[in-house]
Amino acid sequence: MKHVSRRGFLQAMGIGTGALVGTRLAGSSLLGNAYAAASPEPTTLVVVYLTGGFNAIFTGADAFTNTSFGVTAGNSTVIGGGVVIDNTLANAIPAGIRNRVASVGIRHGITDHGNAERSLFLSGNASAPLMLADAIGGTGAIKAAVVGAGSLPNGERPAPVNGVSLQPINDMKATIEAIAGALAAPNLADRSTMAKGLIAARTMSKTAVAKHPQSLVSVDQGLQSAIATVQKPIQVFNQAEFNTAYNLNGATAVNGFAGQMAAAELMVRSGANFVIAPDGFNWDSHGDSTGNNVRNQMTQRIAPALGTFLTRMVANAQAQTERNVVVAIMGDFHRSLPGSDHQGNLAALVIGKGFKNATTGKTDGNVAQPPNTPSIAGFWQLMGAASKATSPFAGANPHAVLA
Amino acid sequence: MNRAFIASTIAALFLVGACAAEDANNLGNGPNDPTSPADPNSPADPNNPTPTPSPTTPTPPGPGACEANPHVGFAGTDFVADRKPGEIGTNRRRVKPFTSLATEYKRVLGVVPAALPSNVAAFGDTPARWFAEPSEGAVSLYTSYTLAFTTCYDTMTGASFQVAPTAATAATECAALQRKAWQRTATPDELAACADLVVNGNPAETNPRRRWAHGCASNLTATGFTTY
Repeated sequence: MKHVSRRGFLQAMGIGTGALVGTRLAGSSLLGNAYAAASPEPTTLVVVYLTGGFNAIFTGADAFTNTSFGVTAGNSTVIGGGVVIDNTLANAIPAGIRNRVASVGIRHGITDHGNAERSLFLSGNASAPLMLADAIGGTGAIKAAVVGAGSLPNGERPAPVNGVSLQPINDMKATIEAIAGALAAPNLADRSTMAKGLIAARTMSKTAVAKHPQSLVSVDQGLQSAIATVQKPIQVFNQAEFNTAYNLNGATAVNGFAGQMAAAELMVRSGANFVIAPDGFNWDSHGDSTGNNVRNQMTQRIAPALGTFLTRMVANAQAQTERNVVVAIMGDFHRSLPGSDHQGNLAALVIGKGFKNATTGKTDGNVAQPPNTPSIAGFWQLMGAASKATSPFAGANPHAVLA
Repeated sequence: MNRAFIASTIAALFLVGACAAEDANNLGNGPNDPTSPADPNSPADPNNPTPTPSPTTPTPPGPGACEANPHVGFAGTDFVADRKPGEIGTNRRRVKPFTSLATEYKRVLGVVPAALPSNVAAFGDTPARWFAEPSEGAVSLYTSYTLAFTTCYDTMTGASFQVAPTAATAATECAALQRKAWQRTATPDELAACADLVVNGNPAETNPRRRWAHGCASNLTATGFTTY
């Protein structure tokens, strides 16, 4: 007889109950996944991940006014609906979409980097972002991408979900060529035969991949995505346009935050459903009790390119009618007081046309959140609701006030 | 104490010796090993110096037969407790690093793709003094194929590549290329995949070299070449 633990029983009950509520909220029937609906418009979740930590001054600065982290009324901005954030981040958000900014509490109780970075992207044992990318559907050949890195934070390489894998994007020029195709010349490969050549390469790789399923996992996923990419109709992008918009100075390698945001835009426009731009391990800001370290990083490293991306992909009138781009800015956890160490919770700042100014799990002056603040699952349930697809995550969206 | 030390040293040497013998018996029994009995081409392969194992070859011991001793640290935690014994010989192949590709292309094609250096970022830039396990993705494999196609086309100037492939010529050329690129003899399925691509991939193509170049590029994008 199959062993049923108390936890497993409760989880099963939760899934069942959640499924009932969740499908109702999503506007679907109770017919189950066979009738799951994709997003009604091109939809992308873009996660800006500040590896190491995310100071609460960027999600709820008002809790520290004149007490901690150097917050004053003069260096924070009232966005509305209880959202008050540090000027260095607020200045990157175009005025036209400031009414589409919300703060989402994630009371995960985790204070070590590896565990937080791993857990934030899991739903059960599966990859939450890949589940979402799969559920959103759409026509993109590459449905989930990490820009400027090879993996999720903590080096996690998630298993594919229904064939949707996480693809690394490390070069703008090569990615544009893969999407748009090269010019015609006798010694340049044509896409239709190349698709067959890649299929043959996959066939020839089958035995090795079967014998080395873990060490060669990226090979089979990559071949599958490469085949899908060259089989799609070409999409033409202009490298110069990205170069100018993001001040890339002609660089095509995605090895800085400006390049990451440019690559994120490229992937949004090419139909990806999930994109993550992990900034390096620069945000473990121990001892930064004034908040000046993270303010400087936000100003110098993040804000310029983030502002460009938000302007072009979220605030732009054409973008608003063409697609639904949700941006989530987050990190491992908040920084604690008094020494800016590790706090066992987090709030993510989310921006997108489906949100309104509101907060859940508002941080207090001790960087604590109310006990009933949802954890990681709640964040993904919100993302599932924001995608307007049939949510792949069990349970109702506990942050309904935000969307 | 000396006696205990000598005894434990002898015991350790015995264990290491047993493991080493086991490893020697079991290393490389994969399809990519020219000595592999799983390779149906192995007996006829003139490059294979090892005779086919006799039916009496002992069966390898099961997984975990040579596990490490526990390493118990503070708080009684065994640092190796979560190591899962796997099947011997699996998950050993790895993606070749970008830094090895220039010499690898030169070994097979005689030249380094001219555009290889400018495409380093497509394969993932690793900052100086850092190590990142090489991996593949859609873009790096697309780039591999295009680099290989161009270089194959530019170097396939021989008379045999100026005429349209037939089933016979495709099989001959594919086998030769696979042997050279992969450093092992292809299995019949692998050979058939290459030959089929060359013959049937784009029969309307009027430039025979392009058909051959696709076969070549496909072989240089497969794991036989991109991994080791």
